[in-house]
Amino acid sequence: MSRTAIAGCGTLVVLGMLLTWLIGSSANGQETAVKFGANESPPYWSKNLPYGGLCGEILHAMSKEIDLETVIEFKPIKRLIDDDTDNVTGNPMFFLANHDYGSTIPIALCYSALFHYRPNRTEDIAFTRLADLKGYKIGIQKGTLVDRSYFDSAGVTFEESYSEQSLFKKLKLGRLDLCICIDLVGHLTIQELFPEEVGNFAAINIPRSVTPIAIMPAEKYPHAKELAKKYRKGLRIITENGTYQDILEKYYGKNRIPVDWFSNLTRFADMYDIKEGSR
Amino acid sequence: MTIVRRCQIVATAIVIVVASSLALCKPAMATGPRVTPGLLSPEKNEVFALEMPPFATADIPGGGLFSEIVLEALKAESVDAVIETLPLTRLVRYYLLQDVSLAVLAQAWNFTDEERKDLIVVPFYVISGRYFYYVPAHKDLPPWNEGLDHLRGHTYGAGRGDKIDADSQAGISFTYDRPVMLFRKLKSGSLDFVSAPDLVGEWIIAKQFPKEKHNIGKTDKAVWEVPASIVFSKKHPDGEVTAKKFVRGLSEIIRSGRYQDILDKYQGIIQIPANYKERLEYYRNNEEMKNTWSTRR
Repeated sequence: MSRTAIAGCGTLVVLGMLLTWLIGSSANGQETAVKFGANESPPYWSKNLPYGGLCGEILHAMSKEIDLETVIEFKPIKRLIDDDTDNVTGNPMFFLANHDYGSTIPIALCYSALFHYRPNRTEDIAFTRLADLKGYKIGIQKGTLVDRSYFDSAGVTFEESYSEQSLFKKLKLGRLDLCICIDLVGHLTIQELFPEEVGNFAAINIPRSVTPIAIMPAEKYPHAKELAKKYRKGLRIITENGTYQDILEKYYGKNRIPVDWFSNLTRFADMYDIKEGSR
Repeated sequence: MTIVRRCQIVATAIVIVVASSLALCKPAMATGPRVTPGLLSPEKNEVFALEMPPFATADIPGGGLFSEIVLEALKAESVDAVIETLPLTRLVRYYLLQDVSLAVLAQAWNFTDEERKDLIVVPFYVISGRYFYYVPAHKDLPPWNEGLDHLRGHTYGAGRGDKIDADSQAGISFTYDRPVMLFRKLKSGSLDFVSAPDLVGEWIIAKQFPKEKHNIGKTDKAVWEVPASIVFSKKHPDGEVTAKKFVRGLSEIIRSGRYQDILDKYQGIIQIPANYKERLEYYRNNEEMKNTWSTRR
C-alpha cells in the first residue's frame, strides 16, 4: 500500500472517529438535557439576557448544583399553554387551568406596583383600599382588566395601553395619574425610557399582587417526579449557599429584594406541592 | 498590570454587559398583572373558589352564579368581600385549611371530622348533575335514568375529586379530568359518557360546541345532586361572626326576591331546576347532609 493510500485511510479513520464523537455527544446531549419552554417576558425570561433572564439564571444555577443540563426554549405563550407534552415555566395559574403537570416548583415571584410621576403630583398617594384610587386615571395593559363593572361602580377608571413604554410615557406627560405594572418591568422601562429621571418615578407596592413563577415538568415526561425532586434539591442548595440571593440582587439591586420574598416562596412551594389524588 | 486591576476590569466588563443587556432589552410583552377586584381591594375579605364557569369565574361580569349569590348575601349584612378563583381544588383547600382564610366556596369536599371542628358549612345552592353522551357515537344506547348496570364496559368521565364508589361497582372504567376536557374527550370518542353538573354541561356545550348542541345528549332528569356551600374557618378572627351574618343575609335575599333575581339573570343562559328552593332548604336544615358528596335521585 502506498504512503498516500495509508495517509488517506488514516485521514478517513480520524474523520470517522470525529464524526462518531460528534454524533455521540449530540445524541448524548439530547438524552441528558432537560428542555423547558418559556415565554419571552423580560427580565424574568428572555433570550436576550444573560442565562435567559432572572428566572433562567436561577434555573441554570439550580441545574448546575444537581449536574443536570437544562435548556430553555422560547415559545409563544399560547403554544406553551395548549401543548401538554412540554415542560413549561411561568405563572402556574395560567397552565393548571388546562392541564396537569408532574410537579409545580415555584422558583421565583412576581410583584406588581402602582407607579406615578412625582413632578405631576402635589399630593401624597397612599393605597390601602379601593376607594383610595377613586378619581385617578389609571393605566393598565390591554386585556388585563377583569370585571370592569366592579370598578365602574367604585368610581375607579382605567385607560388601556398596548405596552409598558406607552404607559410610562403617558404617565410622564400627565395623561395618566397612575399605572399598574410588574415592579421589575416598570423599573426596567423607566431606566430605558428616562434614565435621567429614575428618581422622579415612585412605586407603591400592591399588597395582594405576589404570584409565583414556577417550572412545571410535563406529567408524562420520563421520571418527572424524580426530576422534580432533583430541581427542588438544586433550589435548596442555591438558596442556602447565597447564589439565589446574588441573582436576585443583580436584578433588584443590593438590599432591595422584597422583604417577604423568601416567606412567600416557601408558602407557594407548600401550596403547589400537590399530593397524588388531591387535585 | 496587577491581578487585582485585571479582576476589576473583568468585573466592570461583566457589569457593563449585564447592564447593557438589561437596558437594551425591550420589555414588549403582554404580561401585565391581571387587574381583578381582589388585586385592588386589599381592605375586603377574600373568598376563594374553584374556577368553574358559570358558577365561579373571572370570565363573566359579576363573577358567575355562585359569586353573585354569595356577595349579595354578604352585602345584605354589610360585609364587603371579593371572590378569587383558583384552578385547582387543592389550592382552594390550602387557603381554607393552611392559610386560614375567612372562607371558600366548596362542593362538599368530604372534610375530615378533625377539619370540620374548625369549619362552618353553609349551603347556598344545590347543584344537580346528569350524564351527557355524544349522540352520533351512541345512537343505540338506552336511556340512563335507571342505574348504571347496563353500562358495563363503557368509559365514564368524571370530575377530579368526584366520588364514584357506587358507580365503580357497576364495572365501568373511569377517566378524571376538568369538565371542558371531559366534553372534548366525549366528542372525540375516547369517553362514552360524562357526569357533570347540569349548568356546567350546558355552559360548555353552548360555549365550546354551539354547532354540536343537537349531537350531545343527556339524561332526561338530574341523577345526582350536591350542595354548594360557603365554608367559613373558625380559626379566622371574623369566621364565626361572618358565618352568622351570611346565614342572615342569605335568608334576607331569598325573602326579598334578590336571590330569585340572580337566578333569573342566569336563567336565560342556563336552565335553573324548578325545585331549587325546596332542595336548598333540605340541605340548609340537614346538618348531616352538608358534607355529603352526592345524593342519588
